[in-house]
Amino acid sequence: MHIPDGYLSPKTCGILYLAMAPVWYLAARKLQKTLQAKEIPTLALSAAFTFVIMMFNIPIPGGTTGHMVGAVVVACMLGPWAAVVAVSIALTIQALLFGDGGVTTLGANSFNMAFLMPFAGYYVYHIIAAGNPGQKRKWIAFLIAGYVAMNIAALAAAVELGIQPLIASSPDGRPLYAPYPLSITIPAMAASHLLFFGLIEGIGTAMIVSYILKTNEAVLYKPAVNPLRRLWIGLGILILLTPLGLLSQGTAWGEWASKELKALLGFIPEGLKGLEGFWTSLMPGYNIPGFDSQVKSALGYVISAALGSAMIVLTIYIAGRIWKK
Amino acid sequence: MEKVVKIPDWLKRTEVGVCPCCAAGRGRGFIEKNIEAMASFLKEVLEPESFSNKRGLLQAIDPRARLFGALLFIVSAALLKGVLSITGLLFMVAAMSLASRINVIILFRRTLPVLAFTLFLVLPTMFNFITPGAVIVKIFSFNYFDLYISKQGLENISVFLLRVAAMASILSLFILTTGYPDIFRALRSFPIPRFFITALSMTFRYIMVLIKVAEDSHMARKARTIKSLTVKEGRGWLASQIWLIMQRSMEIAEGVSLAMAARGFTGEVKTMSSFKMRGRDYIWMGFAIFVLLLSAQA
Repeated sequence: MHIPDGYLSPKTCGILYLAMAPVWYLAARKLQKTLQAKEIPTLALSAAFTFVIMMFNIPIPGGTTGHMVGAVVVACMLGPWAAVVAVSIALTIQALLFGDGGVTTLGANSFNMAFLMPFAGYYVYHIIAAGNPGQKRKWIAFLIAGYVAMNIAALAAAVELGIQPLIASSPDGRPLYAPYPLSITIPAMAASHLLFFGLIEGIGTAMIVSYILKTNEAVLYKPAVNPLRRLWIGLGILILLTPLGLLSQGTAWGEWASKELKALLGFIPEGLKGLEGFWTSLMPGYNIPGFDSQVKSALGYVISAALGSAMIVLTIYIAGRIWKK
Repeated sequence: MEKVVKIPDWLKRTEVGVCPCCAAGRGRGFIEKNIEAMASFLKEVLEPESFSNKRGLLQAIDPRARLFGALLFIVSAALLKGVLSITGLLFMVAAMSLASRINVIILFRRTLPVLAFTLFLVLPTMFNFITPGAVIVKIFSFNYFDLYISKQGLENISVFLLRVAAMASILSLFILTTGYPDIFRALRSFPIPRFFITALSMTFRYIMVLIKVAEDSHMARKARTIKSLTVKEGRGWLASQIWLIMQRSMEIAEGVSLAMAARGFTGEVKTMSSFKMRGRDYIWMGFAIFVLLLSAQA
């Protein structure tokens, strides 16, 4: 997962350092508020703890072992912002003192492992463990959080590596940095992380945090505000922004109807022709049947968006009520 | 007089017992693997001590200027695009290593893991099925399918491997010639928040403490284990050890913060700096800037 020096173009490294700058700044600000005088020793010891658990081999079924990153463990114990700083410090020491990872790629590695990973894991855990979960659900939530977070970080690394031939090649088209395109980097990273490293991270996270839950739950990070509240606010904003879709012209790529396909290709593929009328939805084209004028169709679009969102929320709510364990 | 830290050979060895008693499932156990990883980490930490005190070219440069120069050389290597220019930079690094009284083989050994990984990763790109081009070596031909090493493919992996080698060896040379306290003090001259650097140096210090805790508990477990552990038992024990390390780290953090407060620490970090920039340090930085400008033009 650690991208070494020389794999990413200077342009990519610069952009990812710039992307991390506000994250580091915000993390430092947040920690100054919460940790206060204890800030530096707590951060240092958290980073040292992260560094040490990165060295441990975790046994998994089949007799093999593997390392974990530990970002989700730190996020669950100290909060996601503390995890940003702790994992960044651990990565800096690995790069600068031991040459593991890279100095030019430190921004990229921090973006993947110190930012995406703890936040993804933290929110996935809180989504799955919403309400009053039992031990079993908490264990599963940690397992999935570690697994998902690791795979998100791996996907980000795969994208960073895979775009190199597109953005940094010589005039004759020769790749100058990481040579494989997205079509190779994404499946390669996905296979290894979905089948092995994600599992290690998931099992490692679940086993460590579950042990803490059994022995001293009080040390786990307790957010002042319910983290799902922010997620709800974000989702609410996205729902309110739905009418922006009315401004767009044309059809989304790959979502062509038979008429549009005919215009593009000159013919309608046989399979598509046969299956097109198989299912007619209640609100075809995100509209209410009969709402044909411009104003009415806009209204139909907003109503269908609101109905769709409400149905998803209701389904998740019911599923959550059923699955209390 | 030159100060040389001699580490006894037995301390550098990472021997583990032949008994696979701590295996969880098949093969070598995770306890042995962890002990080995911790021992090799400590060996890696101790290695630069014997070189940073030698009287050599880089050791004579102010650590701040040395770090600045190393970073510029790394960026220069990232900017270079030709085999010849990167080879030239590599020769320059080798010459600097010799002038700093560091055997090139030691430098190569430190960069070997990343080079081996990179070679394994990019090897397929030298074949025509990924990078078509002029034939260099034909492997086999069957009907309409030819497998050969292409000129373009070979050029691609050469540039990539040489660049990775150059960047890794510059960083390794800097690490080998600079003691850890000097690295942290040199970082203070850069526009990085002070609390971050203080946290960095404290982290490094406490990694050693926590590794000692982990090593002791692993050794104690290994000494008391006869029968193989099951995967479940192994994971349970490891979880308890990680919890122990976490608890120790929180206790230490609490103690250190109280000790810092008792000594009047208000959040502002003040350090003594015995660094003094001399003429040769400015020449070194000027040379690094010159190489960077040349690389940007290349």
